[in-house]
Amino acid sequence: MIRILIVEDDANIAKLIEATVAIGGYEGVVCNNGAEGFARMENEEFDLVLLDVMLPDMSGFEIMRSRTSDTPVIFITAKQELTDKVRGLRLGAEDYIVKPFEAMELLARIEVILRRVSKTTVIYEYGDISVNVEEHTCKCKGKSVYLTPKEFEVLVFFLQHKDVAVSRDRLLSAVWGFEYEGETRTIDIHIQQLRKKLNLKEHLVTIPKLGYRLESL
Amino acid sequence: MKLWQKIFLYTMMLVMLAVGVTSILVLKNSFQLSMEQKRQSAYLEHEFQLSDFKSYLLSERLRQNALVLEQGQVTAMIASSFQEENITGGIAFFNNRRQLVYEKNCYQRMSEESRQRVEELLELVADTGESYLLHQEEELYILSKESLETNTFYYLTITDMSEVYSIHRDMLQNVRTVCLVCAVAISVILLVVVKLLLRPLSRINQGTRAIAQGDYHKRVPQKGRDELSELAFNMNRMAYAVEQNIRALEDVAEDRKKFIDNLSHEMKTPLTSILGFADLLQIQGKLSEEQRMEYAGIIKDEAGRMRTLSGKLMEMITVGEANIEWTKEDVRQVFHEMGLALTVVAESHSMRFSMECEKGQLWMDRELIRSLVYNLTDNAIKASKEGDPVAIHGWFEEDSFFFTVTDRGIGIPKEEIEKITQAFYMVDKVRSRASGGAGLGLALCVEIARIHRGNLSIESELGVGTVVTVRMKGGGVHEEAV
Repeated sequence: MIRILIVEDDANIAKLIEATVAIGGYEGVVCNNGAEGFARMENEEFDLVLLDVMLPDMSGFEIMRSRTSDTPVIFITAKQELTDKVRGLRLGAEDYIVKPFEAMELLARIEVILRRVSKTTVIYEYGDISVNVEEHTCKCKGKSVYLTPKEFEVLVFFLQHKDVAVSRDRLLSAVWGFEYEGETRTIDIHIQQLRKKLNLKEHLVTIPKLGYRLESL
Repeated sequence: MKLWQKIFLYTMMLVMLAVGVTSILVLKNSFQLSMEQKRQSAYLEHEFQLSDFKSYLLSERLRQNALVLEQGQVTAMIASSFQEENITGGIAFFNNRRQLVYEKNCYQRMSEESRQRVEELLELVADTGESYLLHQEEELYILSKESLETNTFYYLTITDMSEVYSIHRDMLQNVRTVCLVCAVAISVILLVVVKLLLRPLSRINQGTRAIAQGDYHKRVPQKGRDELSELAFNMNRMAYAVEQNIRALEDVAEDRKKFIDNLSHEMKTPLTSILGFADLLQIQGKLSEEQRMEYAGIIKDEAGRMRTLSGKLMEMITVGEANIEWTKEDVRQVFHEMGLALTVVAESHSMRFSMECEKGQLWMDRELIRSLVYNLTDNAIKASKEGDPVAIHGWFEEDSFFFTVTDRGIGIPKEEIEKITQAFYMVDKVRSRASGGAGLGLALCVEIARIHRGNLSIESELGVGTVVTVRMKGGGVHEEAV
């Protein structure tokens, strides 16, 4: 399981981040002050660090400067000035997220970075469905099922966000790209196709007024 | 036109005018003088020649032993006598009918106009019988009426004056040359002097330009004790004042930026939790009842924090504004009223609250004073444990009203005391937030004390307790006169 270190002094926000990464199927380790966070970063193995900048004892920038490990780091901070952002990225951070953020946004960014350092799963198993992202293949009960590229991406997105209510807009921007201005009808058609091809009628449920959710088995 | 150009030009013009006028006057004077001398000598020669001739005439008459000489004889003698004489100018004799009887290098070479003038002169002399001098071109005509051996003659001498004129012309030429040379020399000297004198000005100018371009710590060089260095001195004073003001403004801007930074951080922290947990509640499918309650609880807590923060901010804004209502109140009465409310609060935390206050008048804004006392007491209560005492004590001393808020709570670490009055500063963030603090209370108190012409001092020891002393003169400066 992928372990993510969360260095955040505000207990509630730490809890929020922990709950968010749990949705993505990662294990969050919370640490509420800079010094301890730094020590754990140095001594333990993590796949990713979510680092707050304004910490009471040791700022995130300081930690970044003095660290020796090369674990990827995402800054999470209330400072949204460009200079701060540039400073953070210059120090070697992979990304910079400004508070307040949405859960899905945080997950998406985490995923991008984990994919970059190739730590994401390439094979997803869901009941008797098995999806291999690298080979771009999908098997159901051992038999391969033909999916269009978009259907495949929609399926992977749901597998990555099990038990999460995914809005149509979110799905559109994730699979078709932000600039896509098609109708949300397109999504409904894809969902129907997936349900039919993989027999997911009961698990890929419609949430009224919001979107869809793939429920875990 | 630049100043040095103006000074240079005007001085130059004045100097040249003075030199020119003086030399022309002197020249004119000397010309007149030499003219007069020449005229005198010409007249003398005229007289001398005539008297010479008269004496010759007399001796001739005596020699001839005649009673009188005939006019013809006289005429002949004129011719013979003057022919021999070595005369520089020209001479001419006219008889009583004003006919030319003798002339020597004179009449023939005269221009028609000159002849005309001589005719006029002859008439004038004939009428008046006096001698006349006439300047014609560069010559001097002297005509006199003479009686020679009872015959009337007119005697004309012409003296060449061109020498005087040419000397005058030469001198004029010289003066012109000298003036020109002078002009060049003076202009060079003036240029150097003016430039030298005005050099500090250009330095001041450069310095001022640098200051104007934002180099407020720059100073203008000041040397000597003339007006320019005075100007430089005053410029420097101005620059100093500007620098002070700018620095003060920068400090204010810096403070404000820090405040805004802190504020945005303090606002975003609860906001992040609220939005985040609301988001989770919305999108997460399988949520236990326990989790749902927890998330909702957090949202509620954080919303409460936002409310506290906005409340405190509103208070700060009101304090900062000018709508303060000054009234003269009895401190004891005001404190007593507050004491009732505060006792209830303290008792709800199971603490012992006591208050005593001297009677006395103070110019104050009632609401602000209440806020001040409430904030300090609130801090004291938060720092204390159940059963601890919290005391307020107020008294008058000299021209000020003092009051202390004393607790036996956890105290403040020494190195933190200075910082705790800064906005958003919290010694123990976790604990402050848990008790609903926004980190603005003490900053607000300092501001209120300042408005009442006072200050706030804190003495504290870890584990022993804290004493906050407020000293106020009360009222603004002009309100005292009311």
